[in-house]
Amino acid sequence: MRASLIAVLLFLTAPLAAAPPNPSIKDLRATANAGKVSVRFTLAGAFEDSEMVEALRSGLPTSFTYSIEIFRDRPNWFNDSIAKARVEVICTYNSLTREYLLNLRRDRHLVRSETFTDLAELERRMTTVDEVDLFDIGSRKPYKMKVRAKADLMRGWLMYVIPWEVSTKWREARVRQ
Amino acid sequence: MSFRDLVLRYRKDPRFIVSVPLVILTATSLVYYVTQQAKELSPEALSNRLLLFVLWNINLLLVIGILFVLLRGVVKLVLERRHGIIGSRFRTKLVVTYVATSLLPVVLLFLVATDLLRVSIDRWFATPVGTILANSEAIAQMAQDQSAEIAAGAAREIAASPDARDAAQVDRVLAHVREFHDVDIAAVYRAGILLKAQADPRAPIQEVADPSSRFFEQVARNNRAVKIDVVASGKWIRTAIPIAGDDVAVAGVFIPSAMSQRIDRSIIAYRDFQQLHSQRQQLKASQTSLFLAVTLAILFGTLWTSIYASRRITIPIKALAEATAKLAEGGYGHRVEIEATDEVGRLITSFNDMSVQLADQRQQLTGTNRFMTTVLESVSTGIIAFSDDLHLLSINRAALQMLQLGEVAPGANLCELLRGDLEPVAAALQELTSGRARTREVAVIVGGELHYLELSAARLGTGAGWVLALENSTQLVQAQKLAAWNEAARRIAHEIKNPLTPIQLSAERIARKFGKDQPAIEEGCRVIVDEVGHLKRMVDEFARFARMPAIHLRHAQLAEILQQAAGLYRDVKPEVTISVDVAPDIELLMDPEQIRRAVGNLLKNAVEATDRGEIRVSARRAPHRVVIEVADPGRGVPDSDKDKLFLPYFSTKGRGTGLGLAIVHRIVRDHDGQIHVHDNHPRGTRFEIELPA
Repeated sequence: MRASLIAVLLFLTAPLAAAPPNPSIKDLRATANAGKVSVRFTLAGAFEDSEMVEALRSGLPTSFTYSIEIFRDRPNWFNDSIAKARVEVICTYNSLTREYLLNLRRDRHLVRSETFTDLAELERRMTTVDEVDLFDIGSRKPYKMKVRAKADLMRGWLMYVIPWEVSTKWREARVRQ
Repeated sequence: MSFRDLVLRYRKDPRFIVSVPLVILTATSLVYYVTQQAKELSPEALSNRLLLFVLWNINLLLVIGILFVLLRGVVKLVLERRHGIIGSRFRTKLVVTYVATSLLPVVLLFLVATDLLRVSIDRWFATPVGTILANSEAIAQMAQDQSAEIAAGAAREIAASPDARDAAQVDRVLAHVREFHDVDIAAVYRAGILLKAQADPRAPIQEVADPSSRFFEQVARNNRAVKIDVVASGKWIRTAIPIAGDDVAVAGVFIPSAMSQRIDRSIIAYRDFQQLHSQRQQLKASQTSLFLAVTLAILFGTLWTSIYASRRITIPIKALAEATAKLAEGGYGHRVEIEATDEVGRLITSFNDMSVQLADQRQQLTGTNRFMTTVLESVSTGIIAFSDDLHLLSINRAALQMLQLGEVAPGANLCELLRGDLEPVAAALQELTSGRARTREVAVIVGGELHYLELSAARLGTGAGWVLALENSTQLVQAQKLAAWNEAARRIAHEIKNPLTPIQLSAERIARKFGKDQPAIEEGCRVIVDEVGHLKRMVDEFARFARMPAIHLRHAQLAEILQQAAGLYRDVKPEVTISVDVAPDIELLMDPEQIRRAVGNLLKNAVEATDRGEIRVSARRAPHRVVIEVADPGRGVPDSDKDKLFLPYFSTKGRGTGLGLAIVHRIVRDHDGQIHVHDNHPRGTRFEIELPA
């Protein structure tokens, strides 16, 4: 009986996605200038997953969604959220022209489109977020502010049935003057 | 009507119950059909997030539905079992059997099918098709690379030529390079702007635009850049090499559409294959979700159907069980109002027929019982049914009256009931039930009166008890005694009266002849004559008693008769008064002379027994009779004399014939009435004459 149960469990858990990549947000910096906050960070380990590269090269639209929040840090209380932003980079490879079309959208609005023929350059652009004047904090004191960011990379399937998002952990950084 | 009302209204409607699983199955089939159609469209459709989202939500809804139906069913079954509702155990077994028999194969089928599907999907990509497509694409890419390399060679030569920077010589250099390297275009760009170009006039150079600034940035950064442009008539492959400064040499090869289309098809075929390969997880997920949706729909349908079917089966059984319980409690005629056409329906029909028959029989039995009860209650014979251990089963009114018993509850012990004056009855009962006698006659004093009861007992059956019949033979005995006395009186009158006259005459003659001289003889003769006269009067009384005339009934006012009777004795004793209390409208069918005589006799005795006080004569109506009462505050009658009071020649006065009360008794009996004697309160005697009204 126990052997049967173990077999069933193995059978059910076998289709679990392979060891997931471990991407993370690196070098998160937030700089305030004249009431505006610019955010810059990189996504490390996003292309370590061979399936990601394979999907990208196959021409399927591949996207990273970055969620960025700025909030007032209150150590002994709930943080006061001030603003949120959503940045999406969507890449589609054209195998006929050997070009990568990269669309960058902020809060679901297309900001710019770029074409790349160099994969390394594309990867760098996809994993680097450098948003100037992303948040308007007005007269708030920047040193009390914090920015946090995370990235949603892809969707996996638990037991081929339950949707499962591959995301990084939130990374926080204090806003600098 | 709200949705909730609709659901509540139709939740037990078979059409609704059948429709819900059908709708779910249809929806699942529709999704399956759409998926099948999507296969023909594009690989993206298979892994479409919307499709997966829909499937995921359907699965979620189905899981929630199954859990809801399952939990609801389980909770209801548990509650029903806890409350001991009939049919709940049977329903539990049915549902468990249904679910178990469907769950195991369905789940196994799902596991095997999905595993097979996943293996099949993996096999798709393990076939040589992948290799062929990869090689084909590589060849196509190599063809393009070769063109790019030719263009690169041409561009390098332009860049290497010192004349390329000389405006006067550049055309010649470009023409030479184009000719020598057999490229379709050779050009020089300065700061991203076309400076000079030499092109094959057959090549559609006008279809391709100038490279973008990003292209030249890439050239500057990488010292080389390749650009492939797909145009209407084919494909341009251009390679750029920096010359010096902002100058860039660009050479391009045009691949006509006949070839470029083949190249593109190879590339696209491989791209599609790669996309499918990249999406195999999503593909597996969508297929597995679809399978799961179908499986869950089947499970949901099975579960729903099992609960519905179990309810359909158990409802008539439950109704039958409840109806049986009602029948057992006496609810004869109870019907099961459930429509069924199967064997259960036949069972229900049989039950209803049986119930109706039982009700009819019960009604007949009740009618018979009521008839028997009426008969038993109306007969003058007392009937007592009792068990073998002498516990009362039933007793009729006549028996209660005979024994002067109040309301007696069934189950009472007869030995305890028949105590005191009724002990002779109990003794006779013991004799009868022991088999020593079949009938017994006992004399008991009931209500202060002597009654003669004739008892006969019969066994109802083994263990069923006994039935005792009591016949009040008091009047019969009294009539027999009276008849005997009539005969005696007649004989006494005949035998005694005849010699009395000669004796009297002889005594008178002796007195006349010898009495004058001898006072003793005269005194003796006088005594003889007096006693003979007394004897003659007594004999006359006897004779009258024996010759009581037949009564002549007619309607008469009772008040008048009683007043007349009272008037005869009102002034006999000065300290004795007689009052008459009678309603003036009491009219009876009677012989007025006889009744006046009877009441007069009672008043005569009352006056003689009373020294002072009031003698009350009254009459009142009672059910089916009129009761005349004569009550005096006199000496009263001892209990020991009450049973003999109405016998002829019984007197408590020491003188008199003792025929007065006997005559009263006879008159009352001739009127089909009864006479009773009771103690008057606080003293004296009270006679009650009951005459039928």
